[in-house]
Amino acid sequence: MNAGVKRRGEQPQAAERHDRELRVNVVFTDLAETLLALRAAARLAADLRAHIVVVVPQVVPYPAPIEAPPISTAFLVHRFRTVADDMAIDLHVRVYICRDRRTVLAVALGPQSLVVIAGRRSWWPTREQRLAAELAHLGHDVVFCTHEWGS
Amino acid sequence: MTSARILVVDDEPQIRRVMRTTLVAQGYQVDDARTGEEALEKLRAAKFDLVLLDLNMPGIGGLATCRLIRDTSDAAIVVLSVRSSEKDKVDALDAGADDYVTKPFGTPELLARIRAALRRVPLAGDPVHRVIELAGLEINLGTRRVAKEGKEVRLTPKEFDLLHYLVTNPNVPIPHGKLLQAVWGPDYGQEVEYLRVFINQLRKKIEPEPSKPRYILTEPWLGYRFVMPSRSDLENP
Repeated sequence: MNAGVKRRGEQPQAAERHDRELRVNVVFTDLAETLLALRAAARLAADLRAHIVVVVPQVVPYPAPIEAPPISTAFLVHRFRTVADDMAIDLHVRVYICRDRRTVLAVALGPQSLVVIAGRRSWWPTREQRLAAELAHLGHDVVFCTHEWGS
Repeated sequence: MTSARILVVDDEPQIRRVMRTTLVAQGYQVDDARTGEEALEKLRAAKFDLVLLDLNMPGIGGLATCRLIRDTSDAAIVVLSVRSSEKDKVDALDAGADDYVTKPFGTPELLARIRAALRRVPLAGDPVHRVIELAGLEINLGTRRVAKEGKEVRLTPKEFDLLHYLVTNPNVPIPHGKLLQAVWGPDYGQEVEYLRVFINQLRKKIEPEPSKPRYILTEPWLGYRFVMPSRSDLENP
């Protein structure tokens, strides 16, 4: 765990057990897009016998103390649990309180991870497209899904 | 064409004899067993395509034998019985039988039912049961097992289906859409990224060096190609 990055959201034992299995990482972007990514991840996870981890980088801007994120971690975890229950999928939520999203993704994703990101695709790369490209450049296996994907 | 192997299971020696004569005359390879126990032993020792099974037998009985065969074998099972009630038929079919023929029956009808049952199962000598041996990699299409350097590789059913399709269509580029539809079904076709993930997983599991694939090659803008080395390539790698 790096300085300035705190992971919350699940019991350490469960996290260690899941670290040994193939995991599909869903990177939180915004709620609607993350739900889309979760649907795609659920199909992948079922066919690959993998489990899903939602990585939520919660950026706390510099003037604010990192111990006091603007949104409660428990609230974020609860929100995903409710969504997961509705979709009948098994997932783990890892909320990382950090100063910078790139730093936290370097910590949260292992080498050559399988990552699902949802977003809008445009001729001028959107924020999500850029993030997907950066992660692919770092060697991760990135699935970028849009609203047309697998609908 | 491969002739099917049939196991006749009946405690009546006359019936076994008549069956053997009739079936051999039709070109089938026939073996027989007097009891369910003997049948299970023979099925463990050899591969049969179809089992003709009597229900009334001493020992573990026809229904229990049927269940035990179905637990371990994908051979077609045709039950032969004097019992003609609906309940007996339902019990036998629920126990794993593929067909139920009531005694007495005519030979043409029995042969037709055997042919129909065999149409639904792949024959033991068919390519689907082939074992493909490549350098350091063994793919058993019948048992759905893959071994790399002698160690079993765990593939998910979808990963195996994908590999199966690729190895049974070797050395030709297969478009993304065709692969997706063959493995995932007709609703798929556009999910190229989804396919890429599975190809990457397969490469990690079966390739000697996943970053420099030797078997599953990418055909840019088209799809993938499974490279099946020729015999001379395997002998002189």
